[in-house]
Amino acid sequence: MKLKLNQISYSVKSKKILTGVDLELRAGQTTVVLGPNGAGKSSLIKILSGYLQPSSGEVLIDGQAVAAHSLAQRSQKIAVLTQRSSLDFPFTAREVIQMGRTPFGITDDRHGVADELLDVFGISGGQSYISMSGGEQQLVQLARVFAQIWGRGEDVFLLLDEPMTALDLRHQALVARLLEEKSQEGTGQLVVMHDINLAAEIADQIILMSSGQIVALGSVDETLTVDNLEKTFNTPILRIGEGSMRFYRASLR
Amino acid sequence: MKLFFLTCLLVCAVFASLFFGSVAISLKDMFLVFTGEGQSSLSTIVLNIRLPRSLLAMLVGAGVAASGAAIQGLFRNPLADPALIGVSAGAALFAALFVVVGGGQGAAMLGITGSGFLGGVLATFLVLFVGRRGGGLSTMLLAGIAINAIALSGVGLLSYLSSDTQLRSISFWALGSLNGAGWSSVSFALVIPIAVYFIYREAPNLNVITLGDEEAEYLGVSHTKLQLRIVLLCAVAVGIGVALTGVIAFLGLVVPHLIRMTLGSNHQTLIPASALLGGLLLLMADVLSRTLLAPAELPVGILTALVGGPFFIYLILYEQKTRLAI
Repeated sequence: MKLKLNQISYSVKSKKILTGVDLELRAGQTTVVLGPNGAGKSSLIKILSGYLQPSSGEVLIDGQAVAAHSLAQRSQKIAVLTQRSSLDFPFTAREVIQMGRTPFGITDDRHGVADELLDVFGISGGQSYISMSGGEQQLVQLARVFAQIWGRGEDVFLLLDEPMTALDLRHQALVARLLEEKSQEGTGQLVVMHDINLAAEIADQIILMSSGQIVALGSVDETLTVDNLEKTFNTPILRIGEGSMRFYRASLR
Repeated sequence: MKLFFLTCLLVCAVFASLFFGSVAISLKDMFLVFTGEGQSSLSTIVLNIRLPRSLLAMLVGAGVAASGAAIQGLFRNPLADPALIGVSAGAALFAALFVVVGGGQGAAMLGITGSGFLGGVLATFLVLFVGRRGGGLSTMLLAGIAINAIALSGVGLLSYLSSDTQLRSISFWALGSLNGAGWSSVSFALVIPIAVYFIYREAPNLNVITLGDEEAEYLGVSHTKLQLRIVLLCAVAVGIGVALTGVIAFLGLVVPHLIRMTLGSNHQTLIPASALLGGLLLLMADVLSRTLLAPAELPVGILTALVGGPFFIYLILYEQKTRLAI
């Protein structure tokens, strides 16, 4: 499966959110989007998934316009994690994860998939969602999104908006491993995050975005340079170490 | 299993309710009535007065409570009430309008019911129209509040302009009562379980919409289409009930809350369980309303508000405490 953006621009009233974005996402490829707050990263996900209509340009799923796919068809091809969900009812963790299988109807084995994911994420299925900590809730939401693509290999795409938010190191590593596993199964992934070093670890392709435009797009080595990062984040960046041992952080001075 | 238990309880309650009223009926007489060998006066009381009244209470209670569960899910707010979509206030306004402007005494029952239903549906359409133009649930919520206020001020104006007899009719209707329920009312109310069934079919979509409109779209559920279906189905389920019995307060708010606390939030359980408990509670409230001050009758809406209000405050405080404990 392939997702393509051709010359996408998106504005709200007179404010330009995205300008002239060209992008191609392929099956089995992990693309990480990095950029400052308000760079247009979340809007990029909303346009890729067909939730928002661009002001100009086209979004193609396997060469076909996104609008040619019904909502039900899109939900079977693309799973999205948003930055926050409004869930405020005492559903159990298992019930929330089962919601991820909604696109596949009542004949689907939602219980089996949920059990598997509860096991993978180490979540207790009977726990009430609203009584969980922020990090635990994020894990349940991630498990729900993974449930939507579970067992579907290269037929699906995963779009994750800041999946590591509120997760401790152990769970960040768990999610990173899961992304790697799904990538090997052929699932295309686009992940928005703020951790440059983790991005370097998991990405096949990196997009640096600023003010609604792509500053740099390419492999980790091509894009993650001090110059590009400073241009993107508009702040001094320090690189510590070399090669695979390099590490980036913002200069505090 | 829990749904089966609630169903059994409801069936037993319907049967038990036939014994309550100003005329005492023994178990033996009841048996004779059902075998067709009872006294004709007792048969009339049981089969033409108490049975249709109990069935109506059950159907109306089920419709209001199931709609409450669906509206709370749709608005993602456990404090939402079916009245928020304007149905009750619209029905009250049109019922008052019928009493004051079109109000003959003879055809009053049918007229007031029909007008009430029409008013409920029209007010709902107005809330939907304004809400959709505003583009969000919050606009719909605000539109509901505004239209409720406008309709209720209309009721106030009509009450001010009405004669003493008309004022009494309006007040009794607004208080909610199952007095005068007959088989014709029950036959109208049979639309309610159909609407509740269609609400139940939306249960998986209602589960998903609680995650948020955007999340629901990613799971293949169009929030705008779901909103339209749920609001219209609730307008029918509540509108018919309100039109037949008047305003039944608090049931649509308290019952789903109670079920959510005991059986969880999954709408596949929540909606049928709310319908069963709503039917059971309105039936019990009606039995109380006709026995507490017998031979006089207390409007059932007063009882539901009187018991439901403090109970709801307790629920809010209990929930707050539970959350703080977490």
